[in-house]
Amino acid sequence: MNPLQHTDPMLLPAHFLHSVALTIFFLPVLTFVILFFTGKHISTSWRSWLATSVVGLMFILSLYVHLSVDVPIIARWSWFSMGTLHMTSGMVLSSFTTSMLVVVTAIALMVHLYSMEYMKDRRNHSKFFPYLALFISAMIGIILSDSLFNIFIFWELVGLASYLLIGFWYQKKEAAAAAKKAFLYNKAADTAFVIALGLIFTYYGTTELTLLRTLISSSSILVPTGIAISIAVLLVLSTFGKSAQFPFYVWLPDAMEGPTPVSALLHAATMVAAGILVLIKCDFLLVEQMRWVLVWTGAITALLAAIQAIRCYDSKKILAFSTVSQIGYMMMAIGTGNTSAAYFHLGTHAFFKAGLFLSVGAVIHTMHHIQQNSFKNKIYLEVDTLDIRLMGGFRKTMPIAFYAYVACYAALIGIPFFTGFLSKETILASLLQNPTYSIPFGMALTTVGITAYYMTRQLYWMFLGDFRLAALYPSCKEEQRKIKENHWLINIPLIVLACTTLSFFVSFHPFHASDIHWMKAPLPIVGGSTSIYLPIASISITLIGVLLAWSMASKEQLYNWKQYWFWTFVQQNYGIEKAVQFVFIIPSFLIARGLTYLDKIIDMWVNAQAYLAVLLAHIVYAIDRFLIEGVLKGIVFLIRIVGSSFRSLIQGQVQSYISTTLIVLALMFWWYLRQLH
Amino acid sequence: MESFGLTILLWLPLLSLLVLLVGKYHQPGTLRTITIVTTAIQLIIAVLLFIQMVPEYFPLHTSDSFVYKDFHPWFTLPLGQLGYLSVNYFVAVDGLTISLLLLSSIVLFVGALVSHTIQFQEKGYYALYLLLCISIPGCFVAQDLFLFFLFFEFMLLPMYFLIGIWGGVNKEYAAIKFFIYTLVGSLLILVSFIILYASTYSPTEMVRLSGHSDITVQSIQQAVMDKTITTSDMVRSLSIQDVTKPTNIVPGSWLDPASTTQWLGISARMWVFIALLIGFIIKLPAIPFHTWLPDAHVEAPTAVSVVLAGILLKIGGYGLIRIVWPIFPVEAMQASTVIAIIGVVSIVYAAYVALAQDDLKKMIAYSSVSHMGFVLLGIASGTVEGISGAVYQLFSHGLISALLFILVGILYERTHDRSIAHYKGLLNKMPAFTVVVTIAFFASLGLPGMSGFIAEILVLIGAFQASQVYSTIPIGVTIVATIGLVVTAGYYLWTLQRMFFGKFSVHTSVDAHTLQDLTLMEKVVTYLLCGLVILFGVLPSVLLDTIGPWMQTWVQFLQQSIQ
Repeated sequence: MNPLQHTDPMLLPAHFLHSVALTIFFLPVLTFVILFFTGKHISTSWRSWLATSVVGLMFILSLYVHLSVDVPIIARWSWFSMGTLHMTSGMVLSSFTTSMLVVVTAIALMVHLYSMEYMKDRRNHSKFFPYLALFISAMIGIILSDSLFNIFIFWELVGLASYLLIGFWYQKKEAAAAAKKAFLYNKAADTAFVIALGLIFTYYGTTELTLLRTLISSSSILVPTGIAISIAVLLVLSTFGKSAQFPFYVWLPDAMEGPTPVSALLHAATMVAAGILVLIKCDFLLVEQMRWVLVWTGAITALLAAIQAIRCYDSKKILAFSTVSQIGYMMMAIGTGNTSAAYFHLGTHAFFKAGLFLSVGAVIHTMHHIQQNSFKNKIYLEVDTLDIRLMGGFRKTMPIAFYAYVACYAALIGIPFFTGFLSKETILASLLQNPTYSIPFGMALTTVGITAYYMTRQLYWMFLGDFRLAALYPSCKEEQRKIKENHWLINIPLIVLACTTLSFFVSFHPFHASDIHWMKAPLPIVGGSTSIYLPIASISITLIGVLLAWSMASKEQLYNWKQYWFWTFVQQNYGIEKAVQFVFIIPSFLIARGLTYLDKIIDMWVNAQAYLAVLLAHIVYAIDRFLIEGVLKGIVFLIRIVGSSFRSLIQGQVQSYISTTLIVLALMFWWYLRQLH
Repeated sequence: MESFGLTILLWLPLLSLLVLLVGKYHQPGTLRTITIVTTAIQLIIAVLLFIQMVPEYFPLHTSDSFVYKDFHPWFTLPLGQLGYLSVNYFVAVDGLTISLLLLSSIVLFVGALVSHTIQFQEKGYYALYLLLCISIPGCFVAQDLFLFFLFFEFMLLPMYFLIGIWGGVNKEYAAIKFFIYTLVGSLLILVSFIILYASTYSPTEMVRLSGHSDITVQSIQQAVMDKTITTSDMVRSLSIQDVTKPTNIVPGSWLDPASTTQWLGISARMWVFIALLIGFIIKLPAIPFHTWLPDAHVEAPTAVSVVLAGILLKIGGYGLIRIVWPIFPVEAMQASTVIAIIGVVSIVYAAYVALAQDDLKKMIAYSSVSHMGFVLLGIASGTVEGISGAVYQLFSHGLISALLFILVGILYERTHDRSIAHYKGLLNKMPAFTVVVTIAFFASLGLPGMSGFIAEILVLIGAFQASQVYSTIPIGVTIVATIGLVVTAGYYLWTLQRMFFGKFSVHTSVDAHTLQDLTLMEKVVTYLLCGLVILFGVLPSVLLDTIGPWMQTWVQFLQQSIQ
């Protein structure tokens, strides 16, 4: 019997800032509880205002906490105990966690403002804000928790909230299926988290990250290398689910079934960011031997997802693929050990991706209105309002959405003076520093070009040219004229998010992220571009992509173009789902059938035993009836025969009595004579 | 004074039973009210006992480790060569019992609340139900195996009639199957108890019965060692305190660890261990002794299903923790890898079978089997985390399965159809019902924030630790168990998608007008259970802080015994 490792963490009292942070965490929980149970009895605008003002308050508090935090402060409570074993939950406030808090609440606030108008007349509205609140509070839980055990709890709750929000329009078959798909892919990846948690508990005796960090850095606990590598691999694998990496990322494009504000939140701040966040937090657990897994997976994911976006016509799915692709960059950064670069890109990406989703959403909102108005005029447009082939010309009709889109677009493809450029540059530079990663570096650079291509294509088809829906359906001409700028509640978030993509928000140096002032340097930025050639290379590749898209886009045949097998393969997610279907789902159902059959066999055996017992009973009965009773009857029969033969003797006739008596006497006499001899 | 509460809790239903049987009640619902009031009082007492419980560290199964003790000598039976059997009425509570006592009070109360579906022979039904209200808590508080066995048998009989009379279409088959399975189990338990009786003696009982002040436990033990006391003069007791003490084993008897008696190469102790193990595993149930459960559940009326899944299964787990492991710690440790594998196979096997079910109730019944596998895995781990997880799983699954069976009952009562494929888009028609079903499904698939998660994660952690501490459960076995988590999520989410989401439509055999949303009564019951599930998921300390010390002493006992 080996002694068990139990590292009992010291309990630490909460600082005032911890209570503020707890308030930030519990405010959305409160919103959830109130709106979930009483939502139906409150009017739509009240619901929206309540939820939005709570998020606004959270944002202000987050800013306060962020500005007040200096050195990391930790609070630790006992959550429950089993005898002398304590399960603790810790909360860490450092400039890293609090800056993430600011990012998440800022984007949540924008999304809330936007949703007030966007979701106003949508079905199932009463459940929308509570679900959002659940989503946000779970994410805040991940950010603040210092214990991996607690992180896992919020991790799964994020999964639940995304399930509810992706399947928000549950009447749509696709939405219900997409929600289930998202949850199951995540659940499959989460089992890796469970196993990692079990191993960490077994070998380190605690899951408090601060404690683990000191234990590992001081080498006071020696864990077999195999186990350490397993823990790292399992943790990484589990983040592949939530952060949508190859091969788990296929759930994310389908998740576009959810409302657009949800997509903005999910892609920018809550769901996919969670994986990166956890990896940054657990960076010290990622042993050197397996970091290449991260780099390669990131590179493959970035490239594959970018390629998929090239021929995509769904305006939201293009953005979804771009998210997958950008998260791939972050994975690469973590793989190279430059977690600060990953975090930097996470932060900048959050803002411009939210901006992109919301501006595209503004267009979709207008498209939706056109469709609705046509319905009112008894004209049924069976069209997909998300299809970029039906859009066009929104530059003139909706300039705010257009300029917001362009700013975020510039940040995404990496134009200088925009934030995305800086963060992407940092990641590319850290890849370049390690010569073993030259192939992933090449893939990352290629992805830069592809990103420029598909984004320019989307920009072109959505905002430039003519409004093609009106060209297809002349009845929409009237509606086209009525298109105007959206409500200010939609436009304000767009303007704010567009502003945040400007590079001076994070650094005064346009080509070097040396001075990240508003983030208060949550993590020391290392790397950055060391040579002048890297920015030149990436800018030129971007430009090539943009120009190529510009020249191709006008020539691209939108309908009835010849589908090469390659593009079919790409559009089917490189056959990942088919592989999953054949390797996991179909075998699962076969196993299920087989085991059900086995169960029937067990049952048959049990029943056979019962029948045998009954049969035995019948046999015994038969024996009882025919043998024992038969013998008895036979005896009775015999007796009866004997009796009846003797019965004639006693018939009351004196003559027969006398003769019988004489015969008996004669016999007795004869017997007596024989005895004498 | 404190023991008073326990006795009231235990025997109050007998009073209600008398009231019920003697009087004539024409007012509809009177019988149900009597039952509800009885169970409510039981629940209040159980909660009070739980709150007053102070967690303390005393060695396992010593007189100090029990609280709320109520001890009365019952009878002493001379059995010739086998000495004297001393039976006492000994009921008491400790960390393990209090959690299950609390659970059984909650479930019996809830079961009484949902008994309104019973339409005929109400008197018989409630009489049997009240009998269960005695025997089920009795099973948990009895600290004498004789008493335990009495309560155990008195639980099976009412259950048989409750399924056989008020059940569904195939009730006779299900009832007899249930009865035979559990009878085989209790037969194995009985035989084991008899062997246990023959192999142990009770020095404390001998001191108590002799009445001499100069006879002490030590002197009797010495006399037994010196064989100056013959076996026919020994007083034996089936008190759990006595039979779990290794020093109380009669030298040279079958269960003497030194004895070399073997049969088919397996020691007598191991045989008895296996017999007891199977006896309780049938009740749990685990693969391959589980096939009575789906049939019994599908045929049983809602309230009976609730009681069956909510508490009856837990007695299997209780027996393993309370009786089997403490009496045979060495054997249990030797067999723990095999037992863990049985547990893991149960988890995965039953989850897969649930995936293939068309009948909603059958699916949930199989999910019960799957969840009980965690109990087995946790017990086999022999670590504090594992056993705490196992007990927490007993508690949590009691609440969740009660909720699930009530929900199925609600649907069945309206449409008399439980086929999953016959419903689509129920959310449109029954929003409140769907919300509760979603909560229940997520609770059952182990979502954090609900009680099932705490239980399952603790069991898994414990199982991982076992590979390190005792080198018993290979890591691979535990990893296989996590497959069960994914499959469980799969069948629940698939069911949600098929039955509740999408556009509303039902099969032609279902009358759509009967699909009314939850009534006030149903809301009260289901929300109550949802609240409890979330409470014990968010604040596990409510339960674990109270019962944790017991878990630790249990593991200490185990570790001392195998050293």
